[in-house]
Amino acid sequence: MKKALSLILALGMSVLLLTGCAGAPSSSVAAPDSEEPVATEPVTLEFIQWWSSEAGSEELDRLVAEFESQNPNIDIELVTLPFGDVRTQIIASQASKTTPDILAMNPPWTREFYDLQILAPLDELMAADPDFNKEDYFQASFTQIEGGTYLMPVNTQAFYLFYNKTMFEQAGLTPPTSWEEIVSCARQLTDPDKNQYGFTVTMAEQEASNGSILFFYPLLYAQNGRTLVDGQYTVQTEEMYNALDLLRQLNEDGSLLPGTTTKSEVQMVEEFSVGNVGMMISNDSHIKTVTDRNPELDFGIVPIPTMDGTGTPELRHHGWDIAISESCEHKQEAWEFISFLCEKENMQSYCNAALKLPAAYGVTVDYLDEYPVVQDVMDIVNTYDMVEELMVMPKASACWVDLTKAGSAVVQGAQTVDDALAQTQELWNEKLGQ
Amino acid sequence: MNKQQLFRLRKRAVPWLLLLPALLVMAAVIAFPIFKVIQYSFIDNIFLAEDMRFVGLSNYVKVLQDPRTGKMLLFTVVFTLGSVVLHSALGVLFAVLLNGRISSRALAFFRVLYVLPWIFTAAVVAITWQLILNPQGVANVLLSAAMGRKVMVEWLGKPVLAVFSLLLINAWRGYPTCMVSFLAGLQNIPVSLYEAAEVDGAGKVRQFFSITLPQLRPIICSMAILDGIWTMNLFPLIWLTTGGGPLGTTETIATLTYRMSFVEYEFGRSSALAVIGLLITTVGIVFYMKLQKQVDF
Repeated sequence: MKKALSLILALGMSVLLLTGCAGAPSSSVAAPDSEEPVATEPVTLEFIQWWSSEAGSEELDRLVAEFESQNPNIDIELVTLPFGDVRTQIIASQASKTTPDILAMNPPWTREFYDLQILAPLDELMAADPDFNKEDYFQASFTQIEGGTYLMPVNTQAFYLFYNKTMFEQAGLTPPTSWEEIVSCARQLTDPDKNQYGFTVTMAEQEASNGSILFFYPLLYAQNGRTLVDGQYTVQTEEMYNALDLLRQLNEDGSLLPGTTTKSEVQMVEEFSVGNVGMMISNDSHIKTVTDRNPELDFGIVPIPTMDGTGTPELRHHGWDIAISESCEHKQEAWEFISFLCEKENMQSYCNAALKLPAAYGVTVDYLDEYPVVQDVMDIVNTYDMVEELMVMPKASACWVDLTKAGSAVVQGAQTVDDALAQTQELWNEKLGQ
Repeated sequence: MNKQQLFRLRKRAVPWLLLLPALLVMAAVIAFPIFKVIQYSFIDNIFLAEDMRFVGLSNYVKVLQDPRTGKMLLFTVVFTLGSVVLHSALGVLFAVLLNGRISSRALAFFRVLYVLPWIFTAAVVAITWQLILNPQGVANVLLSAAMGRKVMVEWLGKPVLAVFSLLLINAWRGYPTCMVSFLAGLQNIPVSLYEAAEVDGAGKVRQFFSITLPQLRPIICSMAILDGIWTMNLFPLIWLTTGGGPLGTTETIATLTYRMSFVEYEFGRSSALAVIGLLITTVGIVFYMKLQKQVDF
């Protein structure tokens, strides 16, 4: 009797295990003669993002609820992960053919995901939407890959030079208008005995190893430089040399807060927030971080100057974007949600809650009293052009890590700027097959 | 089939049926992923179904020819051997201390204290030690106080120092595993051996080297092999602390495999590297099983 019961239990557990491993049944019926099934039952769209782990989670939940109430047949299932995990999870889910339907996107991931056939083109969906006008939005995210548009911008960010107003005023300095002034100000603000330093930079190799995109790329675009030259991706340009040379100079002057090759972006921002560092390069999403960490810190933001102070610098563009996965079975419904989220009114409310800048023209924010420095940012963003090459660059993540390692090698004194760039170029050529 | 044959069949089948759920789980979460990784190691363009192609040993050749592989293997060996030695030494030391005849309250307190590093997750350990070893962190503050001048050592930022720092961090984190096993072994050593040694005039140190260590030898060897396998596959601590840097000096098989997969999208090569790691680990497992057989006999 006991054995029989054990047998039944074992068989029952095995059956449960096998049925649990099976996929969920589809909730839609395939319509005859059509490529996509027509939703006859509620459609559930999985939306993977990191946004709610950083800011504005309540507002996103509210917007989702509002969308669902207007579209009773569409359920949006939010999947929130830390930023670094979203990319890994999307790739892993693509391998297991369980890619979420809607993807929060960091622009530099775009070409990589395109090459892995993760992304669906949005052009037809945009064209078929009578309420959608591409011209209403900042154009950087609409940069096409092989003739297709894959991103829709939700907010916009750019990179600036943050400076500690108190330290500058005490030293009788004004915000730098050239790179010579950056070096000079950094030198004058540095006093190791008082634990004060002129600049903080990260060139760490821990994930996301994004020192190059936080420092070199903004400096590159401030000089109107590019990495895509004559159809090839290159670091061996005068502008990129100047960017690495600036790092070398700051390091040799002793102006860099120690720990350049070990601190993460978060630690770099934390160090600036403490108030003993004169300058850092970062994006406007850290205005809130710095202000919240140290409300007493009096800091300002200026565009990174051109090298000699003449001409007009360009800004490195960043932002929160959104895409639809190629494997999504309900792309029209997914676009309806994206279009709803990016309507000017909703974009404004979400940006207010998340303390981001809208990616559409004529949309303002109402948190200026709380974060007055954002007014400076808005003025800059509406004045200067923005550049983002990484979103169309194959293997962007691996390439920016190579450039970060070049920066680390220069700071360590292991390589000269020329040698570091030469090695990086070799690695890029191999990775990109050029 | 007659009744007797049916009875014998049922008798043989029942143990297997009772094992079936566990076997299915093991097949799903162990055997299948291993099979897929081995399969992927011979394929290129894994994600692109229409472009997927069999490339034979090409991925293995590319991995072995990768300029990072030599440095990575060197650090993996140094880190593994160093960690095993430190874990075993610290594990024996603390196990002997915990095996001492002190009040039960004090014993309970020290047991909790010595086991604490084991409790923290890799992320907590990585962040805590990054802060301690930060140029402006506690370690340099104490060093500055001791030396009477400002010291700003980049413990995790210089190649050689990063290797030593990681060994220190991993030694701190990993010794409790060994300590617990050695403590169990110590408590099985007959007290009469120590009494006899005392009668013969052997001091504590002599007793330690002549009785304690030889008696613990089988456990030490077993734990050393297991620890070596675990350390060789260690990922979160290294990835979160140094990311394999600076300049790739702390890259291990695990971190390079991850980098090739999720940073460089070279899934075929990363699978090949994972299989190489599996083969190295298998050698360790064979030694462990042989050792266990000797112990059993």
